[in-house]
Amino acid sequence: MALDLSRHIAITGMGVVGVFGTNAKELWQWLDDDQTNFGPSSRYYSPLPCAESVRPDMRRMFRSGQLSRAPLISQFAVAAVHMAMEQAGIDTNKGADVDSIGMVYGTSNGPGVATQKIYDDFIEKGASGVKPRVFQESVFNAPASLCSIHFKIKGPIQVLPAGANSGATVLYQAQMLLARPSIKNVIVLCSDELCEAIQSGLRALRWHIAPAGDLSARPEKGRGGIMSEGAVALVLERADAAIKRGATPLVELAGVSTTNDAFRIARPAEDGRGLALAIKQSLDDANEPAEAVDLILNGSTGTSVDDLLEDAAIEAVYGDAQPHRATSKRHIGVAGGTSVLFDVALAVEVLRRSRVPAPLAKTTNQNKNINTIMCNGIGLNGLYGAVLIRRPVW
Amino acid sequence: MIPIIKNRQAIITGVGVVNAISNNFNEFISAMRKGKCGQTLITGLNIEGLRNLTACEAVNFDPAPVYKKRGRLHRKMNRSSELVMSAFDEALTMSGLDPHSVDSEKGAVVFGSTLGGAIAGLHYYRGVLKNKCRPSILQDYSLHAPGYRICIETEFLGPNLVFSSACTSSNQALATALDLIRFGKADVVIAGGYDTLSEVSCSGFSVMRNVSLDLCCPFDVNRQGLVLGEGCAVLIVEASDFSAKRGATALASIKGYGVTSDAFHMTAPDNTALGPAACMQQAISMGGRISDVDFICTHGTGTVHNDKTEAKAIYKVFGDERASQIPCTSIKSMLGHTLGAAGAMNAVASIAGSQSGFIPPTIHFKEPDKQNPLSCSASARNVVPRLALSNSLGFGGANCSVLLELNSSENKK
Repeated sequence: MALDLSRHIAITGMGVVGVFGTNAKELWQWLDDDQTNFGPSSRYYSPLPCAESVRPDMRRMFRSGQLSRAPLISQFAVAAVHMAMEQAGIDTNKGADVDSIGMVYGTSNGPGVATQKIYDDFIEKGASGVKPRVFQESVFNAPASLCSIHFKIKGPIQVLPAGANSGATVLYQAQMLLARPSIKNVIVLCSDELCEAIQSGLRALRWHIAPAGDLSARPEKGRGGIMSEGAVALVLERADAAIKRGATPLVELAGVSTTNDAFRIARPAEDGRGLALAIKQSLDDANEPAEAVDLILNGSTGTSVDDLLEDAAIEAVYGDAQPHRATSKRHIGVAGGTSVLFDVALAVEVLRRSRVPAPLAKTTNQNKNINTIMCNGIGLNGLYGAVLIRRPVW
Repeated sequence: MIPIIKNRQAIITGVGVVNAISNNFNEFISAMRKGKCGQTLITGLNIEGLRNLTACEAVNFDPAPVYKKRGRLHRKMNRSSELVMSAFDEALTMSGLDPHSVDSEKGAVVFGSTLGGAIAGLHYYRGVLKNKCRPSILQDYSLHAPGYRICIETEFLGPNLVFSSACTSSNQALATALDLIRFGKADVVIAGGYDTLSEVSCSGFSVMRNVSLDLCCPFDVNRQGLVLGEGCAVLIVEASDFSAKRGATALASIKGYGVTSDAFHMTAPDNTALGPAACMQQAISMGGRISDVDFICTHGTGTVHNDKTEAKAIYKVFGDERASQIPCTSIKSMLGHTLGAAGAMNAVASIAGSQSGFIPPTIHFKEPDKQNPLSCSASARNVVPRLALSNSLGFGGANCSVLLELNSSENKK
């Protein structure tokens, strides 16, 4: 009997921009070569370490001076979407149905640099000192709007800031958008940029790692997060439709969930109840048992409380038969709202290459066949998500 | 997996509202019927350098009952959360819902906000510059913090989502409430929108020069621009099977929505009006018939270009004859532009009109545009709206329309 693929979701295109470079091959190489690039920002003064993204060459990619003057968060976004659409074989300049393409955008902090500029101008010069262009670039939806304008996307544009859980949130929303018959493709996109005020704010909240010792050192477990930046874009479509149009499904987005722990403002439930529920719901969504998960990409940002609650959640769901676990954040930092999608991008590469990057395999002792990967998301103020990525069965 | 649509409706059983002209639903009904104007001199912010000295500030909002209900020792919230919790308290009481009777995994919270914790952000940043860092200020900075407070109180464990798609934010929240219910992901969704007046929003809109230096006169030939407002509107949205079981009274139901993008300009509307027209058509075709729409709660910001584009879109969708006759309203003439809360405010205003038998007025409206004139009225009209189309057209070309079936006591007969 033929498999009914009408409810299955294929990822057919992927674009990534981050500290490692501007494509998935460079992401893989970065992890496989055990590279890091933590250090103080070159764009502002801060004693805190961070991982700055490679800047995409917008002039070369798009021959556009205007795009190269856009805020970095938007440049990352446009570059990632460009790569994802190219890989998926969708060209809005060559007859793609622009009304049937939707976009769901997620971010943790949005255009933080523009927002800080507004604060500075307002404090220094008063209300009239705020620049109109900076204001229009500061709103959360600005990167998504720029993408929709540049790529002529006329379907729904939805913007959901959800902290470090944004990736799971946008995938959750994309699933619902794909249920609409009029929508053929959904571009999920997350981007974030480094910003002095946000980095120092996160340190004040004791989330960010302290500026002690060697700033280039890889973070030790439980010491805190290190901020990074970048973007990931994925093209999602119904699996049957993707196959019909001759697209190559990279992986299947098998299950998604987003939850909250209903616990306390600024203090997550350490028993991991929110994340455990998200994982269970994601497995239910994919019709998979917990035993089917071959690898977990940790959502913990590196704080002790994140580590604690994720351990508890995994214990609650998987019991003694815990799958192998790995984290990308010790190599690429915590890219705000882009974190979960970076792990999805890594999952795509792991399934495509049928192996885990060497340094991550070392920590997980992972050499067996991997077909199903769970990417966990942990956001501030009790937000959780879980995304199950599966090797396509079709 | 792509979810399957289930045969269930999204019923609104309670609403709560705070804005410049009212602190609750009954006051909102009364203020709109009288055509109250909420525009006053800005008092709560440092406005030095602003072109416009007025806005629709919720000056009469008193957060004391919010704290009183939660005990005197409850920690101080920022203004966003105070507004949200006040509207939430009212909506929950009106609905008669015991949130603990809801399967906690089937309870969700979905809000819309443009600038969220902007006040907290600037406050914190000022402190940092003076070496007086107070991290506790940041606890309410994230846009989903007010929604999280609701999750904590209701013990809902489902999604806590917040849209930030400029002015369409809370209409997208209502659209998602419908989706969560029809896909069986939630039985109860607490949906709404909020935004506070802040130095950031006042300065930004001021320098963009789309703020009126006079009154807000949407769709009037002499309109000059928008007037900023603030507030929060919350709606308790329940699955029809869930609300029927507990015998709840339906105020309205969310029948459909449309979401499109202009893909045109970061701030200016596309004057072809194709995006907003497609958006309205999607909403109507999803949940009703075009001939049954008897009220349009417009986006109607009062700017020259936005109103022109929206009117043009209405003419495209309804045709010349009906477009000039359907009662249209912009409640922004009374309570200002509440940004991310605008869609939810429109929904509550439509429900208010249906419950009390009138179409809310577009105050200050005197003379219609020559091109695509709409049927606006400066005073309330004694007509009971039944099927309302609520529009939101945002920065960056985001459009979202929501179709609401209104359930007045007269309609039930």
